[in-house]
Amino acid sequence: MHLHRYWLLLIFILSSYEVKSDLSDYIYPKSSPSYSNYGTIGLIQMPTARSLSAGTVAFSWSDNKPYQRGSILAYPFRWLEASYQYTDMENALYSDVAAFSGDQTYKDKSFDAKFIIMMETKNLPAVAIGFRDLAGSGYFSSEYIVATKKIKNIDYTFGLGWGYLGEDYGNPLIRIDEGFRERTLVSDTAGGEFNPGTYFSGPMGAFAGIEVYIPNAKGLRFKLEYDATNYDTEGFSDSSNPFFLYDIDPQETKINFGFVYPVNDSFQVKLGYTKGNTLSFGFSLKANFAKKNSLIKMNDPRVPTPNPDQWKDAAELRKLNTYRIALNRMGRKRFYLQTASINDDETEIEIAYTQSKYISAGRATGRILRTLDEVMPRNIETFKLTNLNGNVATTTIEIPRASISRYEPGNNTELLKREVKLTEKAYRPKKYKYQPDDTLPKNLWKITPAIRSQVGGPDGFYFGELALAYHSELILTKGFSLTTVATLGLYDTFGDLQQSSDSILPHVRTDIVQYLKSSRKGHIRHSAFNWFSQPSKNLYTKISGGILEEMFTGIGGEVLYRKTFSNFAIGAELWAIQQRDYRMLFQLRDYKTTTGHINIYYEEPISKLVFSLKGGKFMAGDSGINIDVARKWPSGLRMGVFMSRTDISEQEFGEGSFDKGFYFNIPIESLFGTFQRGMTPFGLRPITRDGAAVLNHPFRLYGLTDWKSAQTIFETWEDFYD
Amino acid sequence: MIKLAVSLIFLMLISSCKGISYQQVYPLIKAATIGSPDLIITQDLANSQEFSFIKARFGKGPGVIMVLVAVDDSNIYQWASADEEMLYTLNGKVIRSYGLPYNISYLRNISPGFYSQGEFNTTLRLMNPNAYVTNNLISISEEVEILNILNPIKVKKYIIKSTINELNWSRENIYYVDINTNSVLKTTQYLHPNLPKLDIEFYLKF
Repeated sequence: MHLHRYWLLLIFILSSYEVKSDLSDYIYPKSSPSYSNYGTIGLIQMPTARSLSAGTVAFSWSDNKPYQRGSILAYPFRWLEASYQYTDMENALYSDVAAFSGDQTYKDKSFDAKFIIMMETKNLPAVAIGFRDLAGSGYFSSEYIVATKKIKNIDYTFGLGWGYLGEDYGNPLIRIDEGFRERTLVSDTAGGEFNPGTYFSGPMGAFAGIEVYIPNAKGLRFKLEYDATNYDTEGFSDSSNPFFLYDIDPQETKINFGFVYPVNDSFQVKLGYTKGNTLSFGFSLKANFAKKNSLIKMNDPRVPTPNPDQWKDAAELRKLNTYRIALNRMGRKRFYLQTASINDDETEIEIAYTQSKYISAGRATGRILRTLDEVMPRNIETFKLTNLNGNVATTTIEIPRASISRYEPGNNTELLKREVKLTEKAYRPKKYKYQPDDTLPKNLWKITPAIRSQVGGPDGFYFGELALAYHSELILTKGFSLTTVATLGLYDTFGDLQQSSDSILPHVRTDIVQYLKSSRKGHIRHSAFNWFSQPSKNLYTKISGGILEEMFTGIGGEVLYRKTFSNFAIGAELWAIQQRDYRMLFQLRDYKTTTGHINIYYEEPISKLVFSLKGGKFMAGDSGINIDVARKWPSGLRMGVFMSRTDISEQEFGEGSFDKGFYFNIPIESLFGTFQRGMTPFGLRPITRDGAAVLNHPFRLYGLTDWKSAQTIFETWEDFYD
Repeated sequence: MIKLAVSLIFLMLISSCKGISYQQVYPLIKAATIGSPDLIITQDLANSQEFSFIKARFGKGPGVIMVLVAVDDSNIYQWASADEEMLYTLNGKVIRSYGLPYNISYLRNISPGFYSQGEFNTTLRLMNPNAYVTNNLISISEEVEILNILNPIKVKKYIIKSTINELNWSRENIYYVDINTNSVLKTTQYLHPNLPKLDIEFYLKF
């Protein structure tokens, strides 16, 4: 009781620090919301109604005995926090067979979601509804409604919880439906299912807490909470459970406290004391990859062409000079002129080019056109630029030359946009007057370090490999090439992997551990011939054959119909494939099949959501659909969720019941200081299974034709003068 | 530097074999562990510059050359970098900045001989976020020493304590003033609570 009085006194003293509002950001710097031990934004154990800005990706780690938890979080919208929790539960065995478990402890994986249903206003709190362990094993399954309001320098939180956040209070929802009275544990499934019938049912609990921002303490915060967690039933508390290893210390008090210190805007460390007997600690990292300078400031400015008048004079001497100067000056900036034409009255030049440096169509277009404006003959009045990718044309951008410099003062890209014309065309190189000599075949190659990661598997949170990778592109003719990636392993931790497949379906994905372990010395990741063509202005095709991906070889093709001014696209693909040997060289296993899908895409222009629907036959022979909903940003960041339903039963699918997960693609350039086009895809499933498995063939036509979309081009148009 | 380390951790967590080249990773690791290399101004480099310039370096970041672009009637020097960052100095003290992550502006101009003025208060505008604070400046020591900047030069070293009471923030700024010309040759200043220290060397061509 005395202890509580001291807490109240401390809170009173800290909250009485009145400041001018414009100074508060300096007195309480780095005030971004902090993470709970559970991995999501919250107090110490309890959640809050706080969230982060859309486009943020975060990683949080905590140790709160008996749990060590790593969490990966994504914020596709300000109002949605989606997270994946990987928990090492030290009070339970790895499996229900002690001899097999050895000293390995239980690893639990789960998904959480929190929806901010009301943002904080001057007088009203932010309110959120959240779901813990939404489609996992159910060991931490709970739901909550929480409100958070900041007054002066204190964030106050109050919430109601169900499931493992439920205590012995009555459930008011019983008045609506008697079904809320009992919370039934669904135990006769393989786990991983959504069980909406159990949500918000059973006893209800209440929790509350504060996060006190300490003045002039470099962002340090103090947290205090009333913990509603029912530790008697959470996790492995039942000694009759064959996984059970030992009892955790009982809760001595429901009051937890802790401190959070933000080292900078991206990195926080924390220390806490829970249950009256457990010391907890952890850290978190975050970055918003939707922003241009998310972590590293971009330092890759456009370099103006020196002596532009001399270039113009030289280009005016004869047409061949004009073409060669365009080829040379663009090439210096890593834009590769493929073909060009000047019209008969010499007022217009049309150039088809390739590039692999810029994600932003606006930035690439701006840098090319500003260079051409510097060096092209003065009588050229119009530029037409056709972007090629895989030797197929995406969209042609036509722009009056005078507009480029007219709108540069003040970077007035909005007015410039009104003078831009987008057109569609099928690329026919022979129709251009200038086709520079290009000796084919030629081989472009590089050797790079490579990291192969296995995150969130049943044997541990992270396993990795450091390797040297050889990347090559042998261009045989325009549009026909052999691409190869082969690696030589240097160091790895895959030896500790032991999980084997229990799937009753063909093992098209679940032998991942054998693949990782057998290919450690070196392997061929991919080596396939690809031929791209464009039969008409909006129709694209691809035929590929060879080692298509890590686990399958084969031959097949894809077709896509996509228009510049339509948000819909439709395609199809068909593949005859055979499984590769675990060594990942040229040997094959016996399993063969055909797989193929109809693909439908829709880009919603307001929310920037991309809906992809894939229907057909999957690699393990099952048939059904895959739905993918993703949000994409002009920076290249993409966050999405997916799920599949096929004609196999939940028992045939195995643990997880059906395929689902989330992913994000982070633009590599946000981790460096220079522009570059690559992405690092990162996907998470509760568990890798064989059902609903899709062939990972490279250069999918929808991605290849990203700049076909007027929406994509104009979303990045503000980068034109960058 | 911590942001670079965070970047590397993200890279390790999320990377797959997507061709991140050694040439890209190495500078990142180097910058995260030992900082960026300093720019050394040699006599040849100084001679090769057409106009007066300063070498400015924030914390352990790379030193950059900023060229003198204007001097106004109040003897305020305007320096510009290739990245369009601007510093305005009055006898070596930065009184205004543009293009930095966190900028400042003194609302009342400081007197040119501020470093020997004793104690005075001035209003300082902090930007990103915007706030107006009172900056207390007090001269706490001065001593004669030899400064090696291209050549050994006899200078007076002034230490000025800069305090913002509202933020409980205080730092010591140092100015090395040429005894013969009375101009500042080198300085270490803390401009903004969110910025690391700024070292400036002045190379005047008049």
